[in-house]
Amino acid sequence: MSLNSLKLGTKIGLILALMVIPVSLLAWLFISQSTQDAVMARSELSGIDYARGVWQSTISVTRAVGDNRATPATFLQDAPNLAALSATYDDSFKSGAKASSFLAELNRLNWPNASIPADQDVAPLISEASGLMSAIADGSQLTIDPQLDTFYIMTNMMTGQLDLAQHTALLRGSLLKLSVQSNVTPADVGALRAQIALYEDAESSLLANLDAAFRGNADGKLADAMKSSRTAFADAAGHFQSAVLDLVTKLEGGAAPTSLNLSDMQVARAELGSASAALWEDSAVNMARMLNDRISGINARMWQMLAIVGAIFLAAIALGGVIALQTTRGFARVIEVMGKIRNGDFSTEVSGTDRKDEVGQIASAVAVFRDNGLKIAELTANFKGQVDAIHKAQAVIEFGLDGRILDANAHFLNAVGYTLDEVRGQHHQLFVDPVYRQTADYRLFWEKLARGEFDSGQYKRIGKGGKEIWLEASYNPIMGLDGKPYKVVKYATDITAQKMKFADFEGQMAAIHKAQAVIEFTLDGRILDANEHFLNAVGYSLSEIRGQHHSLFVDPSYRQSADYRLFWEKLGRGEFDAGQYKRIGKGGKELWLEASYNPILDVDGKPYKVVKFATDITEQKMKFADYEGQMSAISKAQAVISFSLDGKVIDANENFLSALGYTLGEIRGQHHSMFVDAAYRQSPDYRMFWDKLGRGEYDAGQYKRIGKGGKEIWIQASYNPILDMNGKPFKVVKYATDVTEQVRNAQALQDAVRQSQQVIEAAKENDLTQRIPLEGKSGEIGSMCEGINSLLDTMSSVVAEMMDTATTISNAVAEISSGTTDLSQRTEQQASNLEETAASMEEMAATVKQNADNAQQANQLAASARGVATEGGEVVAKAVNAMSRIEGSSQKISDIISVIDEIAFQTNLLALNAAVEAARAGDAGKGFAVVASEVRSLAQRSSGAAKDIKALIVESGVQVKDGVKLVNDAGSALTEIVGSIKKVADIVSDIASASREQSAGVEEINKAVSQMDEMTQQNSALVEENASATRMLQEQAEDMHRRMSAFTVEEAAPQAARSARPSAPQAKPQAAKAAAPAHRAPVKKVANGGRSPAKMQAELHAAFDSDADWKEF
Amino acid sequence: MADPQDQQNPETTAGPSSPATRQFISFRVGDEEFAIDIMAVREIKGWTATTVLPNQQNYMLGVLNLRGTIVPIFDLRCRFGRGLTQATATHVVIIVSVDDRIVGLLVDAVSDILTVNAVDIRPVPDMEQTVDSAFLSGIIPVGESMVVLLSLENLFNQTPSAGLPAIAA
Repeated sequence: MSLNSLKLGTKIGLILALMVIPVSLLAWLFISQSTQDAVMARSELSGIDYARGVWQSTISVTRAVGDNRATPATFLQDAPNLAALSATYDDSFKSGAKASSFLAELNRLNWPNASIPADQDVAPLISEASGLMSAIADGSQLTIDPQLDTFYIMTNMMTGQLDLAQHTALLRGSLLKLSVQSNVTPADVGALRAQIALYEDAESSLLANLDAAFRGNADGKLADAMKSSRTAFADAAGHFQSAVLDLVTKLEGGAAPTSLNLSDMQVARAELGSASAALWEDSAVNMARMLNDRISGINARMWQMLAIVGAIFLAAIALGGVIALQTTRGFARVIEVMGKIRNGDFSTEVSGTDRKDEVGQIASAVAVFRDNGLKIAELTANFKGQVDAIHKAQAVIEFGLDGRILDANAHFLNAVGYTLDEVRGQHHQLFVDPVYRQTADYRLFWEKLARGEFDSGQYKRIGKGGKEIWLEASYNPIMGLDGKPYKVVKYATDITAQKMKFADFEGQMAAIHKAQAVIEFTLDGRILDANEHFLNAVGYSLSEIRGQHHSLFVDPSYRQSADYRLFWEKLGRGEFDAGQYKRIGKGGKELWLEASYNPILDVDGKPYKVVKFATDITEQKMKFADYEGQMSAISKAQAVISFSLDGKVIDANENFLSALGYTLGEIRGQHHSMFVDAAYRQSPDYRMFWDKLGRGEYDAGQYKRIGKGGKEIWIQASYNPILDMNGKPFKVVKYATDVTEQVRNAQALQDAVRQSQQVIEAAKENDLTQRIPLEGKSGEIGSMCEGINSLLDTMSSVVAEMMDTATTISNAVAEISSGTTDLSQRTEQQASNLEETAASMEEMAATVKQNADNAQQANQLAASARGVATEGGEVVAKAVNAMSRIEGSSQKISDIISVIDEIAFQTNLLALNAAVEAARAGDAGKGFAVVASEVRSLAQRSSGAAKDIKALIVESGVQVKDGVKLVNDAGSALTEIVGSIKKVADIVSDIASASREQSAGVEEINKAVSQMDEMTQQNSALVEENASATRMLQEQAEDMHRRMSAFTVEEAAPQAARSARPSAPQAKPQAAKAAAPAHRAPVKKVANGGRSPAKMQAELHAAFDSDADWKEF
Repeated sequence: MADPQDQQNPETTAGPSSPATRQFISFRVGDEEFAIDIMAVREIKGWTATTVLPNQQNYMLGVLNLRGTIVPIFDLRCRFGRGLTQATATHVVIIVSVDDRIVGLLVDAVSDILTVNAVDIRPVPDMEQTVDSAFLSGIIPVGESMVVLLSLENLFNQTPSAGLPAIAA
């Protein structure tokens, strides 16, 4: 049985029970010790009892010895039964031998009833008694009494009083012997004295022991109790001693021994005997009392101690009990709570958590434990619910780590088609295809799971009968509490159907991606992804547009529009949009997309992105726009009509209708032949024409057609058979232009050209009078004919004007000739003037040169004047210097004079002192006073002279200062003069250089004049040439006039202004011929230089006056 | 020895006087001429700088070491209440002995040695303030002008009190 199996209360009880043993042991030890002390005291009492018998017997003998009449019995109230006492105590006191010898001694005396002879020696008895008493004292442990009082009393009782009795007996015996002797020797007396001394010793030691006992008595009762007996004893002892001493003194005094009266001594001895007995008895009584007190004291202390110990022990047991009770109750409550927690009841309050002891700590821990338990329970419930839910919803199968199937739920079994019994214990490879089963992958898969790693994904598995199944599954290694996997649970969902559908979708998507441009957006229009087609179409790379907004692709105006915002809102609502969209590619490239925007819905039916499938239709769109534009252009410009292959009108446009004057209703369904004239309608050509079109061949050309009301119309047209997809014609479209006007215009043009030819032929023959008739001509032809007519008019007037002009030229040339003559004269005049000018210039040059020379001389003179002035300045500076030296000298002289003055002053003082001394010397100083007076007058005179010189020097200093000032003024005046001369020299040198320049200028003027002379000569030659040119000009003017006269100009009313002209040209030639010689003469004169210089001169003057172009001249 | 006529011409008058004549040193302070008894004069010397003593009357110019004797120098002009003299080397100090005291008097110049007959010394006319005239012991007429004879004893024994106006004031 181990301690652990004991309850706590039992344990505490056990401890208390064990505690009793040492406590009892200690109590027993204590009691036995106390008892021992009591036993010792009792043994002492017994000893006293025995000793009393011995004492009483002994003292009775000694008392009886002195009294001849008495037996010892008379001194005993009751004769002590010594034999009985001996029998009772000898064994325990080991005093048998002593007792028997004592008793033998007593018996020898026939004690108690025999009288004792007076000379009986009692000393042996007393010594026997003393031996017995010692044995008793030792045996009864009286000698080892622990208390002082009892010890000392015991000593008296056991030995002291016997000793005294012995000595008393010896003294008495000695005295009795002496009393019977005839004489006493000093030796006898000495022996007596020695005995007395021994007696005194014994007595005093006895009393001293008594006093010691009194002093050592704790309660002080002893002294009171024994005072009387002690006093009596001391008196008796004193009496005996004094009696003895009295006798001894008598003996020493020489008294005869026989004369001695021993009665006093005998009385004293009897008295002492009774006092001793009384003392002994008193001592014994007190001793017994004290020993009894001690015994009772010991008992009382013992019981007191035992009571205290018992009380403490009981209190300890009670406390232990209370603690045990409290602890066990606390534990009981905790255990109760733990029991509830164990049973899953977490609602219990844990009591005792407020306690500070271990129970309180345990209770707190239990409270925490309860809370944790509650959480764990909740978690467990939660997990259990989840696991149940998973089991309900999913296929679950559990494997051992080696892949063996442990369990599977109904879902899983349904999915694979097996029953649980079929698969339990089988390996997982049952579900995988044989090829995969053998691969390293499959082995690694299980090793991975065994390591505790998780695996999930979509797995292809084989069901019963080779059925292929797809599972969306996770393989979850389940960890034990040691963190190591111990099984694998697989949660799976059968996704075979979804997988199939997904594969289908994926294929379709791939096909779409191959064929179409695809781009994905978030709901707010940000681009998520785009495929290659789309990127090619817009020209961006994917990285450029990912994350950009779709607005990147639309033009800015649309981007801002509400439409665009609504477009995206619509997509955001999950609504679909499709159509043809214009989008902007990279670099602003415009493109058209046939596209659908498809919001993709998530599982909740909410759109989460937008996928756009688009086809780039830019090219088609462009082409279409191109065609459409061309068609409408054609339709606007041309007349278009379409026919069926058999020639019935299907449609016609406005141009066509207006050209022919019909409405569409009038001609629809009619045959084309209504537009051709009847003749052509019947001709095989017309039939051939339609046959050709029916074959799909094209025809173009100018056709004559008949409009409404028989109006003839010309059209430039092409008949275009339109082929269907099989290349067969199904209709004919005719594009026509109305060219009626052009055809008419061409005829009018032919007429006009012919008439124009005629008129121009006439003009070629110098006949400018023919004109083209303008009637019936309009438009360009009319304006052309009119132009030709006006050309002819213009030419006529030009010819007339030219003839007029030729006349004017002839006149002008004549005037030029006379002008040239004048020019020649003036040029000569100029030449002579120039010669005069040249001569004047020569003179002027000479004068200027003279001027320059003079200026040069003046310059030199100015320079020398400047030198002189500068020297003057230097002289002035030297004078100033000299003046200042004079000033310095004056100062020095002044200083010297001051010294002289000082000396005169001192001399005066000395003379005064001398005069004073002389006066004080009285008559003896009279002569000296005269000398002193002389000296004083000398000193005063020299002082005066010095003052005069000083005044002069000061005056000369002032004058020197004036001189310096004057010299300085002269110096500054000279400096100014030097400056002025310098300026004069500069001016003169300027004049000199100016004169030189003037001279050079005049030289140049001279040259210019001679050049002018030369040029004037050249001018003369030019005038000559001019004259000859004028002559030639005149001839040519005449020639031109002659040629102009050849033209025949119409003399109609419009040309009336020129009526005089025909005569003038005729007159002119003669006039020209007459004028020619007249003109030639002046020219010759000019060449000869006759009168022309004068005129030239005049013109030169005019030119000078006008001052305009002198230099050019 | 000199007769009264001679005293007008001191240069010619030499020698100590008969009991009836006395000799005086005359000197100038400002424009006034004063005179003291020649027998009181110990020495006449040119002005030299003095050692100024602190806390003295303003006419006390300081002391001179005259061959071992310390001599106080007084500015007479200032003593007469006409302001301090701007002393130069041409000013003169007259060392006099007054009642065994040796003092120096700063004057503008020493003029002459006068030999005067005692009877020619005129008493000082009575003036309202007798204290002022205590300095003056007489007036000596010399030609047209007059020389004031000073009483050195009175001048230096009389302790000038602060309240006492200057002599010439």
